[in-house]
Amino acid sequence: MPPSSRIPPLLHPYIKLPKHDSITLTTSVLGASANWLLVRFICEALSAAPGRGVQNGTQDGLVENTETEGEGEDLAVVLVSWMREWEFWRGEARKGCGLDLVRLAKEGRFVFVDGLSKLYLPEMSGSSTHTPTTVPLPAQTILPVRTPGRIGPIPNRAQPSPQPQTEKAKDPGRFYLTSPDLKLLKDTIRTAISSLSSRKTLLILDSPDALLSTAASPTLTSFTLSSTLLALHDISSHILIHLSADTPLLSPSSPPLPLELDSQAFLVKVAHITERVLSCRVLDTGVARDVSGVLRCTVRDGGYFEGEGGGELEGKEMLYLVKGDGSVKVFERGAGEGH
Amino acid sequence: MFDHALNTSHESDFAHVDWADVFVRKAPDIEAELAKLPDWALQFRQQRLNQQRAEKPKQRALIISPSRDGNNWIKKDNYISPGSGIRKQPIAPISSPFKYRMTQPITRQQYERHAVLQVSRLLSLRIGASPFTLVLDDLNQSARPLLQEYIHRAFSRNINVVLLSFETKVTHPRIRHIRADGDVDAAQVIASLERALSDCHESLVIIDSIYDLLNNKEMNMTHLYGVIMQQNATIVGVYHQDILMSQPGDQAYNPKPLEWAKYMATSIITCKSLAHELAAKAAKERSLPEPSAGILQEAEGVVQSLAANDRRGIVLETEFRRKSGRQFTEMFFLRRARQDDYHEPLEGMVVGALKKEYVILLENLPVYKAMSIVEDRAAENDPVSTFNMELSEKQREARENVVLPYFDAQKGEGGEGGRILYQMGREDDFDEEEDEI
Repeated sequence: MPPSSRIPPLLHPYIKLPKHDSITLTTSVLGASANWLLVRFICEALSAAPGRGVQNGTQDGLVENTETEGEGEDLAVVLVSWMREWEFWRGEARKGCGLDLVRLAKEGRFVFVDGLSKLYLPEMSGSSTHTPTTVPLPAQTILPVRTPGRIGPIPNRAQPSPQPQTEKAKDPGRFYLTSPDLKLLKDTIRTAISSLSSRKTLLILDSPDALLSTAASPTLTSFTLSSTLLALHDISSHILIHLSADTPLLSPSSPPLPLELDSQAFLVKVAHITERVLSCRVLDTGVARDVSGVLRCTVRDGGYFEGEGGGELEGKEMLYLVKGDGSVKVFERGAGEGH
Repeated sequence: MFDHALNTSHESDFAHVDWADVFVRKAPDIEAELAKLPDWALQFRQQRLNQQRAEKPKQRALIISPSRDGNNWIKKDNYISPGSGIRKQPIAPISSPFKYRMTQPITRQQYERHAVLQVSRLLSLRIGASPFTLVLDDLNQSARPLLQEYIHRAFSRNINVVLLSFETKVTHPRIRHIRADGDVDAAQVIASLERALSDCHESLVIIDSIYDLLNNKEMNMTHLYGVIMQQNATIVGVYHQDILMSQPGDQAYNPKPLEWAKYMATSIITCKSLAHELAAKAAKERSLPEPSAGILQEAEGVVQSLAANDRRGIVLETEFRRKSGRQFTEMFFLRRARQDDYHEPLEGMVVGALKKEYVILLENLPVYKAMSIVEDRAAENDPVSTFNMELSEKQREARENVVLPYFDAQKGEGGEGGRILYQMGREDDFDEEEDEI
């Protein structure tokens, strides 16, 4: 099955990256995650390359065909995730789109920047085991904070001096963020992009708003985050940013809490910057067996002068169903399974 | 007075005489005295009168809006060429060419023409129309179409466009783009702004996000204002209304940036989506609460309304503030610019002169005027039944033309003292004995 056929036709115009440089915003709520959508973006970006990378391979029983559409540009993908680890994304991409991220990483078309495991998770003894180590650790490493029953001083999560050079793992195409510092983030992504073979890149930022809640730093505000976003846009032609749009994060209580204000300001600011907003939410009428959620796509004309705009795409609302095998069905209202 | 001025003319006293006043004023006795005047005085008078005559038609020409030949529309020699050095051109006095004698326009047409002219001057960046225009927008309607229009018209008039941006990476090469989103501080922004404005007589400065400028760059707005006004430029500043903002504890008593900007602005334009305005009107006519749209208004997880950023055009709620302190507010509709709205560009320009003004009052927009929206909505809400409860156009007309009884009572002559008004018809059988009044 060619990768592009994994993308539902109704969804395709909204996932297809425009010719000019763009920033796209994806939002999700707790009950309706947008991970499937992110995977579709990766799939679309990587399959757009003409006759490159994706071959008739049969590794792990995956069948991949050469995409011969032609006009697509040579795109590479950088995925930065603060919410999910590498294993999760690898599995999702394989299940949802039949992409082998390990191989793509070896070919220099995909890079994963891990903003989770070295930043928040306790140190793992090995990549396969999921039990935190209890053996005494060397003084320099981070102590396992989340080990249950551990009593003692809580170690500082941010390392005393964030190293400008990222720690590179033995497997290619993987970088780690060791501090919530934004400068380090910029440097890491710059290094990651320079390690890629393609001229154009799609940078996917998965939940950078987690930084607002976890990094209690006075310099990390919605403004510094959004200006980091624009700075990253300078080095990456396309950006897809995924934020959560749950009510508790966005509607201020009284008196308003700093986190509510920052999340709302950041989300709205990004929505003002972007031309395209794709938001997932749960079905308004309650839970249904054959509908996972509602996807709303809104598009606006983004440029300052004629010819810079984002085409004639209309806003639309669709329903989607993520099946157990990872495939996704997108349909209009009233055109579900039973019809 | 003239005699008196001459008779007591010691050299020191001449300094106190307002010569322009003395010579130019057409007092009847001055006419008689003119013959006796020395030649130099006559010459001076003639010179002054000529000057006045020369100034008058210039003022009148400003009133004529978009001109056909582009003579008045396009700024001649706006850009100073690098070789010529800075020319000392006197800055035109900032004064409104409109001197309204009447407080209220008499007819509806006059009012409409006046309102459209006002907004047209605003968009065409006429000097003195509005030095600082504040544009309020939200996710439901972005200010971009309006800014596009501003930039289009500025290019069309050969005005220098400077974009001070917090949200844009790259724009048209003719726009002078100052990125302010990074680590630049207020002084650097001011410096690059001065550089961008220095070689032009007239400029348009667009600020992408006033809030970011005021809060995150800690820009002294008065300073910025001074720099820009000195260069004869117009500021158009965008403020995103829907971004919640935090005010640090030590600034709790300071005015909020939005209030500050509103106070400073000489015009305020609020951007609204046409679809939302239509829905609001339909709801109002049916006495329903106004529908709300926007972030989290419809359901959890909704960021933007589907009807946001209507492609047909943009509704501008515009508040004009006059120098007298009076203000007036009107709703306008600005459709998307089309290729044929502008003439072919002259050499070295991006856009040609504007052909005809196409901003209209929202009330004059056919879609807005038509009642069909209300009827459509009404039909949706009607109970479903097998009877046809709709009226045809003819039936409706007939119903509207029925004169209800006792209509006369509402006129002046009827109803005094509780007198019953009844005209005898042919079929009335009047019996005098029975109906004694």
